[in-house]
Amino acid sequence: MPAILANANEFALTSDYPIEQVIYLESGSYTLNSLASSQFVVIPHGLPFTPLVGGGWALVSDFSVQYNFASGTTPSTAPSTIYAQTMNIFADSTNVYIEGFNTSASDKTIYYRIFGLQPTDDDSDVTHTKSEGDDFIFNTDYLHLKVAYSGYEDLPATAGSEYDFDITHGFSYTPICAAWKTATTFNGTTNVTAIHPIDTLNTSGQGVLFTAAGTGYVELVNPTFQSATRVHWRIYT
Amino acid sequence: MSTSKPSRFLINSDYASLKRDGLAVVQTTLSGSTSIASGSTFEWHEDTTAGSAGALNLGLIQSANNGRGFHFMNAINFTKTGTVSGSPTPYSVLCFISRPSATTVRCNVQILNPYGSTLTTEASDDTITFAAYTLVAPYA
Repeated sequence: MPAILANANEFALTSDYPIEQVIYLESGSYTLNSLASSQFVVIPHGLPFTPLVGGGWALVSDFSVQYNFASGTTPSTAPSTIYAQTMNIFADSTNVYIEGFNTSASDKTIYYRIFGLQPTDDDSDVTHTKSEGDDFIFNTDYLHLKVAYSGYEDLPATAGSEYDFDITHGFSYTPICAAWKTATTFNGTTNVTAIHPIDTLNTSGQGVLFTAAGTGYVELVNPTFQSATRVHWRIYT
Repeated sequence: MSTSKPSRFLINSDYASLKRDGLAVVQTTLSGSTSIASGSTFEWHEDTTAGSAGALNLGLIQSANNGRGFHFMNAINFTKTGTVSGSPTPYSVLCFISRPSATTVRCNVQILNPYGSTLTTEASDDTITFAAYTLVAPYA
């Protein structure tokens, strides 16, 4: 266990923790049909493992207003849905999937930016995402996310039960956390067992909730556990 | 094209990184025993400024009366028990973080009354805390 630096989250770099390294980047655009429900875009990723994906999307090409995956545009009228348009993201061993929803009666052009992380159960060589000498990737104006702890947990196959998994971090503050779970989704005519960011499934109530109490531990909770699945997690400082 | 094993480096300039550039914290107290007319939605939101244009949100939401701590999500939805026509009745509280403009983070609470009579929320107050780390990731 590394030494606990009380305010490690206020440093751009501390040698106690590795900087999170992004191993996959992809961007593009596509047309989201009017009133689309679960419209998929499939993007081969070419990696030797399933990446832990994240990123965002926008309705404008310059990304001046960007939404997280599993988040979206605020409806202009009283809410029958949280978001007027929203995108989810998944990945399996071959592809990255973007799933779009649109409550509007008009088509929307969606611009997306995806990043991927390497899971801790894989140690493959990975192609560099940055290789140009004039492309600065470390800027001390920002607080880079440093990986304090990472790993995975295989949840037991006990349908309908709650499963709690605590990770002691020792920080006096609530650290930034992220988690991804393996789950089965539906892609057109194909069932896909894919890795989702936990946030993707939040409003369905079927995801693992990832909570941080700020008192020294982080907790993974799955209130509606249905089948054995692997959860990958990161705790950043 | 070169490759390497990211896990063996503390820092490696051949890979992009995730950069934090802001934090927004907003708190509100929902008064207990609030009346919501049939078919109406209680709506509260507050805007704050955080991060640079185009930043992503890493959202945390906590209800003092529900759950174990901060939920690392941009939206949570939990059930409480109020009353409709004097009878105990469940209702949903939706809390979510949205981004209405380039550097605005909006924290929202919505309670829909789907019933045929007025819904009265639970008697105790509830403190909702929102936090959003903004992230320049990893394109800027």
